[in-house]
Amino acid sequence: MTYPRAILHFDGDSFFASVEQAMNYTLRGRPVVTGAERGAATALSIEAKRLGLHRGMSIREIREKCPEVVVVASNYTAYSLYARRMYRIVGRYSAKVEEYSIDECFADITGLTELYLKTYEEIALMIKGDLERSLGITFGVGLGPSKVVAKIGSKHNKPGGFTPIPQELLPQFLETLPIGSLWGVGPAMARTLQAEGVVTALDFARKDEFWLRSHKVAKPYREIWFELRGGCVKELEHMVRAPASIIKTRTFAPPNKDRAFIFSQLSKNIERACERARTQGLLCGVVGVMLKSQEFLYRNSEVMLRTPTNDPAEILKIIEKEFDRMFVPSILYRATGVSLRSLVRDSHSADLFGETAMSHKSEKVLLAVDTLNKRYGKETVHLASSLRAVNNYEPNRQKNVDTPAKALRTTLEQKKKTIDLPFLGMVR
Amino acid sequence: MSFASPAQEALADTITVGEYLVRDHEASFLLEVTGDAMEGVGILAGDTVIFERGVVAKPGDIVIVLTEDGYYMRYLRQSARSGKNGGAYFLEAANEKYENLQPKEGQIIGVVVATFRKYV
Repeated sequence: MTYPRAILHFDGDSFFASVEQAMNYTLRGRPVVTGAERGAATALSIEAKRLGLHRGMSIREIREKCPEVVVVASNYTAYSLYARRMYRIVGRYSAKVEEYSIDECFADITGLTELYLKTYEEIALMIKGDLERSLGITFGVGLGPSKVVAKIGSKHNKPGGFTPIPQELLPQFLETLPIGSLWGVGPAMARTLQAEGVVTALDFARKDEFWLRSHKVAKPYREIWFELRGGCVKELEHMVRAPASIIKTRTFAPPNKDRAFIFSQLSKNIERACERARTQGLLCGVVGVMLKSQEFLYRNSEVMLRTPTNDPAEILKIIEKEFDRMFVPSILYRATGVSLRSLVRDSHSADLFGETAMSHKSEKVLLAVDTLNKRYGKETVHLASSLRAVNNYEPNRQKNVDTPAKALRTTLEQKKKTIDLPFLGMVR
Repeated sequence: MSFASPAQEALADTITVGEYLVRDHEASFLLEVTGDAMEGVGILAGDTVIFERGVVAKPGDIVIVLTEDGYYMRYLRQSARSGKNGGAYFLEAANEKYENLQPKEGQIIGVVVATFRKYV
């Protein structure tokens, strides 16, 4: 069994539906579908899949076909809590963990055989066992010499499977694998390759460099090709960890009681927080709003989003009602703040090699905004609702005061991490 | 809780209650107590218990059992080695009103590590 590099991929089985079943025992063993809020299935429990249901079906279709199915609204707060637990459990065994998406992560365990006095297979099973015992949900796990191969392994034997693919067994796994099912090969690329007679992953792996060059195969696909041959080029992006929250607050002087002005302050904070989320490829599920009065009285409120987002316009639309409920016209305010929480990886942007790209118009707009602001400086482009706050900006005002407060917030957030436990119900 | 308020800025010589109560955070979950099955050890209705999943339970532990009609909390006991049912495991309440239960395979899902109660 040869592993020049030993990469693990963990994939939570029917993750959203499994979390629902873990949090609510009455759902165990029953067909569960999540996504009621958007009218389309986001995840299906094993029992639901057995009924022949699949993702991409509308909730209406599902209800018509199988009325016994339990349809629930997505609870991203719970999913991201389970995801963070998954990352941290895997992180106990290896310092190199890539939090790839809300239900997946990679770990590099190269060389750890000596530390644990176990084979790579045994280490993989040890981590898998810890995950499943601690969280009460099952994971598909793949072990291979690279990320591409590890991902083939975790998909191979669902649910709850473990598939080690050492270099010498690669051909036998690739032989039956359609080229389009590879991680990073989208439908368009699959069609192009198929037209060239490349039908399986093995067909692709057997091509030589000359073929790749003469067919002008782009770099991401050359990387896949290289990893299918047992090499490893895609390093784990383990340095980027999803933070617990993104917080933006700003004090303005003199204190002000004009609703439009204060809302524009909040708008600006939301824009900045969202920009930060986008640069880290994160979406938020919960938005907290804070208003601070001249007398240092705080008002906090939070709103759970139906669908995680990092689009400030969307958040503002939702938050405005909440703002008006909190806002008291006779009071002078001195600061507003926003905190984005329940952060999850935006699987679209994390999927570097996929062809999913950005489909929504708003995503394209936001990308353009980010590009312009990067090129021409902060707040070159911003929402109209932030205009008054942007014009009122006094640089350096807050800088020195900010640092200790920031440090304190960080420690408080870490403390918070250690006490948020899922509540499962009643016990007799 | 998301913003530091002035009162929280004086953090010194403190115990983080969560950290004190929880051993393995990643495997810990909360349940609220109903009923009086564990009254004898002072776990009362309305209390919150923290249990840890995936721990191998030993006789003497307070365990969480998941059955088709919900969660139960009991002492895990083992009968004396001699006799017909020698060495068998059973679940015992800390209240004489309740009869012993027989745990089935896979029903014990965790061990209680802490409990807390609020008065105001």
